[in-house]
Amino acid sequence: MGFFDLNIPFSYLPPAGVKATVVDNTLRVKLAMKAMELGYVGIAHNHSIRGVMTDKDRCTIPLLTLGSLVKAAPRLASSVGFHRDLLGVPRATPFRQYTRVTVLVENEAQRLSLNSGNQVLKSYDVVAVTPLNQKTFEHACTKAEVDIISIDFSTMSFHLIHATVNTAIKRGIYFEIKYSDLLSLKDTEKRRQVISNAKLLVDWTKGKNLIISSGAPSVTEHKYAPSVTELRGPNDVINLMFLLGISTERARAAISNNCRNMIAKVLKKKRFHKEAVRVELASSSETFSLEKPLSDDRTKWDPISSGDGDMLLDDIAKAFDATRAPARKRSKAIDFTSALESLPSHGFRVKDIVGTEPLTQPPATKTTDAPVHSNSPVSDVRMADSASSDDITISQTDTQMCEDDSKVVERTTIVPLRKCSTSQEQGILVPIQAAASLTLMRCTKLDAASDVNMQTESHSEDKSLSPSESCFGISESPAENLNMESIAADKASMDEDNKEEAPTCHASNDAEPRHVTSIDDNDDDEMKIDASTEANQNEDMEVTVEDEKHVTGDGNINLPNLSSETNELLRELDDESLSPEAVGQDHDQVSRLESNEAELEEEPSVPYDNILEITMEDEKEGETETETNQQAHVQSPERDSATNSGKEGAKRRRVRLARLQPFKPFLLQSRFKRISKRRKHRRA
Amino acid sequence: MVGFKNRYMLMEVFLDPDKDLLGEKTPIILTDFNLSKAIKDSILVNFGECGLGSSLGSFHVQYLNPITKLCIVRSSREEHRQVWSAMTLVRSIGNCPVVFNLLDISGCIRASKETALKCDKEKFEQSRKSLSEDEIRQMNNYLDKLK
Repeated sequence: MGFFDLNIPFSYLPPAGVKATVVDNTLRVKLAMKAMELGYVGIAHNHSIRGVMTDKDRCTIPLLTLGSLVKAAPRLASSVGFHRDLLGVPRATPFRQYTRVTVLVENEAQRLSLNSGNQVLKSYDVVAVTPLNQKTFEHACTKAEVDIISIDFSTMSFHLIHATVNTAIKRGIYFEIKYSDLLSLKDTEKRRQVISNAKLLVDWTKGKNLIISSGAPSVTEHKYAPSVTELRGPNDVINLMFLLGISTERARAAISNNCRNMIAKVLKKKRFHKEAVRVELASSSETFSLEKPLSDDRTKWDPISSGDGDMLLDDIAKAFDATRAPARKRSKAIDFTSALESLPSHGFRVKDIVGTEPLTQPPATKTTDAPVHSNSPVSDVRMADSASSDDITISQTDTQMCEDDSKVVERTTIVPLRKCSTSQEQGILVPIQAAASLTLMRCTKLDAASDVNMQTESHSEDKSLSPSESCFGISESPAENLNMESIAADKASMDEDNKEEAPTCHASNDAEPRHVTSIDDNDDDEMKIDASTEANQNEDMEVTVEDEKHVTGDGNINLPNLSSETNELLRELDDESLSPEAVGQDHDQVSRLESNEAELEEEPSVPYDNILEITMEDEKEGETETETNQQAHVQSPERDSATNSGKEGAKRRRVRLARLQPFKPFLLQSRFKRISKRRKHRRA
Repeated sequence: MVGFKNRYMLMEVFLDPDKDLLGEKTPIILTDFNLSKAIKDSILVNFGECGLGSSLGSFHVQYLNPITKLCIVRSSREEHRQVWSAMTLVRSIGNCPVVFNLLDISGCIRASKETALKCDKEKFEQSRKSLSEDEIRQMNNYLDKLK
């Protein structure tokens, strides 16, 4: 449960002037920071309008950005976390900002402007009205299209009428009580009036449909411009309402749940057509098709997110860390847990993750790349050597795998080729907390690796690949590219050896030999590729390999999922040189992986024969297609696996998809691609 | 069973919240005296002589740490909401605007002290860098008081 303060002044009404005075930015930042620090999770910037509403009153409220907050208070994140813990609010809750307008209504004309077609009011999230006389109050309660009735209790020149109040409640309008009236009014007479009037309202509403907010300085208050001193912590506000006769539970609801419901309702009304349909701008990079379900966002949709202005505490911490020490938090490049648990669908970051993967990748790669490359070129070479050597024999790969456990990061960054090959195992072996960033890196690495492979393989196909490489050029450091080139050269020399060794390699390391061998002549390596992926038969692999092209981050998603459960299992698997018996049957992927490997270990020649025929066809297709041939390979083995393993495989896949439900948005692209590919192939 | 029950409120005082002053030079130094005086004044203003009289019996500032600006205020259970409200309504100590913020409330001094210790440590960590040697020594004294 989060607490809201839906009345943070953006502008306030000085007593003399007609027009509202805009609060200056530093004060706004301070107010927002204070609200955040006190444990609130949402604020509404309030703009007050008095007199005639003009087109100038359209919402021009700039929501505060992360940068301004961080600049103003370096210790903010820790303090906010501290208070949230005490209040029992999850730390990962995003801090939300809304816009609100409060219209002072005095006469007929202003009254009539409060209709649903008013474009000025429509530009705000929340519309509040302050009636100044009996007529307008009744109109506001019974007819006006508003969300909040914010009565100025200190100068109330009308009487509350029970029936009218009840009508308003029935219409779902909320009444606002501003506690700044209690705090800051110096005039004792007015304060008395505030308390007595507010008590009456509370009596009649029975605490329902009430919203408590800090409140801008009241209209008639001369002395006070808004200040941070007006804000109180949620607990204190709840207790303060005891003075007005609101019970603790009601007061708590008034400051949290009522606000939440109101906002959810309002946003639904504002952002949805007929409160049910929302049209969103799709990013141009996404592909659409009838085959692709359109439900990606539904699981992540957040009813109280206004779409922008949400801030995550993690972001603040990170932003501050970034200003101080750039590469400190390397293991948490992306906070998957918070992203998934708190459903901040339109928060700053999550959107970044979902929509524009490349944006989030650079930091991930950079953080890990930088240190590794600074180590020494020698280590790179060494690693490259080891990588190539481990292509040759199973035993070596096994030892390599053991090494992997110890220095995962190094491996991932330095040896793209190996990375590619062992991506699966490695990703799984990675400790959970590091999984996110590592898998991310892997994505780019995979890409890099595949690129390298392609380069050495055949130049004609390089061309088709190069665009994809350029796409991810950003995410790879130049040093690494060089690195890869050298490794690629190594690889080229290694190819001859690999050709012979390939079958054995398959057994041990599903993907690696595939790539290595793919450097050789096409027919042969096609077969091997197929064999290897066939050996995988594993969706993870397929997906990740596909993702080398368009990094939607499937690997990322699968692996955190996987890692926790299969961690030990796979480690075992490595230790015992991939013996199938060692691994439990409980987990889908593990068992699948294992069975594949077992299959290959026991009868390495059989599957290849089978596949060869299929893949020959595949290969032709793959070549005709201007896609990266690697992707084609990936698809074809997938098909093969589907045909070979038959229903069983299909069933498995379904299971996996079900489990991956939360990651649907990540998955869809690749999945769709796969499907369409398959179709194309079938038609051929 | 205890006939007379108390409530211990662990409060956090923001001195001059318009500025970010945690751990920096503060405009005033919090003392037991000026704190309780401010609260009593507030009770008097908001609840009158009667309210002040009834709450005075058990009202006491049990602990105050001027570095982290945490305090524990004791009040009888019957009057604690009044006292709490009065504290919320305090606007200034002397000329310095203040905001009280409740961190924890409990019926037992031991529990309250435990929480206070935890919060103290956390706040201390937040402001450690800007503190001088002397203040750190002081801080440790205060922490010892809580143990």
